[in-house]
Amino acid sequence: MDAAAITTTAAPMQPILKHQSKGIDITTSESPGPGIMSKLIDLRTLHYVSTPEHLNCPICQCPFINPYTTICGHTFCKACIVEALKSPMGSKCPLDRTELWWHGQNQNCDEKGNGFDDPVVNAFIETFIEDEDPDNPEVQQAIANYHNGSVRQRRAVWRLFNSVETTVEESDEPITSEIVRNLLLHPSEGDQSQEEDNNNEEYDEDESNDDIFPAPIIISNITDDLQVYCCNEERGCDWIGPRWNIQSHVLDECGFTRFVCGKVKLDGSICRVLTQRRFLADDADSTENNNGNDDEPIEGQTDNGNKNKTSKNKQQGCPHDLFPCEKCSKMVSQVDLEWHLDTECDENHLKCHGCSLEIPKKSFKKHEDTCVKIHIECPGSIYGCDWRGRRDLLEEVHVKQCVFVKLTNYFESQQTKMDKLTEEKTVLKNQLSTVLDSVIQGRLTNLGYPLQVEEVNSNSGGSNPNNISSAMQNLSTRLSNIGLDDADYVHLVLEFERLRADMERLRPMMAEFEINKQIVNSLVNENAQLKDELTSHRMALNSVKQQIQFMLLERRRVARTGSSNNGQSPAGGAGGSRLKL
Amino acid sequence: MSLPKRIIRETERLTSDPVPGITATPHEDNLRYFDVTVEGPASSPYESGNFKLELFLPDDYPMVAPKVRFLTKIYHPNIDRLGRICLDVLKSNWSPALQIRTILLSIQALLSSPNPNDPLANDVAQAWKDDEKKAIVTAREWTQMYAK
Ligand SMILES: [Zn+2]
Ligand SMILES: [Zn+2]
Ligand SMILES: [Zn+2]
Ligand SMILES: [Zn+2]
Ligand SMILES: [Zn+2]
Ligand SMILES: [Zn+2]
Ligand SMILES: [Zn+2]
Repeated sequence: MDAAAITTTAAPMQPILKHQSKGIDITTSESPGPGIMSKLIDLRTLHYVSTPEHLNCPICQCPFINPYTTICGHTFCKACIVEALKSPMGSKCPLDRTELWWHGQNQNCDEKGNGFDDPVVNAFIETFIEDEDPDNPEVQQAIANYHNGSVRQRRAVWRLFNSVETTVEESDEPITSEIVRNLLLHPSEGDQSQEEDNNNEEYDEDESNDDIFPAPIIISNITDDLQVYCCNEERGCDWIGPRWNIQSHVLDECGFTRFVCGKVKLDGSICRVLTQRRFLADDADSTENNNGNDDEPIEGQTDNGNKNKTSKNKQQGCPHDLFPCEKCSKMVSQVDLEWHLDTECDENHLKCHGCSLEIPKKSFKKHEDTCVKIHIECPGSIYGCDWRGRRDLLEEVHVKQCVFVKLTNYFESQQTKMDKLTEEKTVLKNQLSTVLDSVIQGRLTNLGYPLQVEEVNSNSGGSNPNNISSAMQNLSTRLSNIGLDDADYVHLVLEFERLRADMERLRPMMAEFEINKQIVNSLVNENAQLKDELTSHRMALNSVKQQIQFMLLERRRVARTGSSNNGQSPAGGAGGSRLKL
Repeated sequence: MSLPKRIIRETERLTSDPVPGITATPHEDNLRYFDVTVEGPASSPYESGNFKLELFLPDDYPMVAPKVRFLTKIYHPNIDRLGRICLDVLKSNWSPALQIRTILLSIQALLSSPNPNDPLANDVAQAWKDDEKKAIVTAREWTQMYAK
């Protein structure tokens, strides 16, 4: 390649970088099956549209991938919980340290069943480090080896230590710092023995007795339905879809996934540059302009695995072949054309709406920001000014009159204050929901205070009654003794709320009853009064009756006396007949 | 080797929603290495002190605990002269569900409640047990001297 060719390829440096921004590349020519795909897309690197906190795995802090649940009711990604169970923490739930049995457990142990992270060994090594001169570089190296060592290395140190221990016992010699120093300084020796062991280790693959098992299908369904952005988002793809669909999108549709070009270059060779699908489409064929320039941009890494020629692509030009730009005649390739027109080409003009000048697209934005004739909105438009006009008029006339512009400073200070308050509110809300969450779930986040994690969470329970965490423990034990679990508790809270609402609804009715009762009472009173009155009337009537009877008797006596005096008088007869009535 | 998503998320959260009194900033050239400052908790001998620490996330993180060390000299029964910290969650009680922020909170809590019965710095722990008042005065002096 001569110097001239290098200069032509050096110019589109920018687009090369752009095409190489993060995304998915498929470098094999075989049709990729699911196996290949899982290697191509790491679901943990996906960008989620929104991630509900409670669907996040406590270990990787991403939405669950193949969720597994423990017997203590906690859910993790399968890969995460398995890795955690293999880690120095051992076979315990990472959240509450419940002992978990699973079939791969033996990987953590030696032949005798001791965990490689034996506290005795740890303590011994710690003491050794303590006793040594910390300024001695050898010791510092040993400390670094021990602390920064991977799980594998630590396991190896432990194994070595164990083997030293047995040999030393046989020779009846105490373990000297010398031996420990050696094994701390050369942990790599242990790695080899580890490698050998790995080949011999056999695991029981039966999962049926494990304390971890697949989470309810609804959880995997919910996490698989979460909306994600395309893996090629940074290259410009704006696809958003459910997580279960990402693989087929990237593989079969996405125009931004890169494949090996595979097309025939002008010199007859096969192009092996990684190229986005949208440039490889069968109809993307505007690159027929042959100009005899055979030079290929030295971009991307060619893929040696793809040697077989795809005859289908033979008739079509390679999108990396250079041709002169329609506007400025500069040599560009199809792949770089878009970028060239937008940011490089001097002859790709756009007409300004304000001043009617032809401006190259690459500097059009800059012109729009300065052109005095272009129509723009008043800066106070966000506060309600609807003035719109030429920039020069705005600056010379309108700004001086506009009330909104004058108030802008005030509005802005108010806005910042409001933003600050909103932010504060969000922080407080988050804190509150965290607290509520842990209360409802009965899980007290103890913020990692020393020594309490175990007590709060373990089922054995603490014994110190002064300790809040053990009190919580007692409480939750008692709750579980009377058969209350979290769901019951939530249910009780809800029931309580429902009853309270019922009571509130009944309160006005009660008041109405009260009033009615008063009315009835006064009616009863009135009734009693009437009754009294009636009695007194009746008594009065009786006395009148007696008086009348008395008067009648009197009259009869008078009449009898009169008849005996007068003989048979007609009047007396009349009087007598009246008396009979 | 690329940085696991979890570390990126934790780093983002440490900046967007920082723990009061604690800052943690990753090095630009090594995102697993953090410069940490912890304010001495109020009403402790370390009050008004500003302590610098270094925090390193090993390759196996979160399966193994982060490595944390005080860079500022501090007089504390559970912190030795190399700045190493005796804290169970950094050793045997580590769990992958713990995070950088929980670890830093634990360290801040350790400053509030020194525990001379589980010492790392034996001489300091002994001094603490023999004469707690005097030890607290020394701790305060050291704070004034080194953690300003
Ligand atoms: Zn659990
Ligand atoms: Zn996970
Ligand atoms: Zn896409
Ligand atoms: Zn090509
Ligand atoms: Zn051009
Ligand atoms: Zn213009
Ligand atoms: Zn205006």
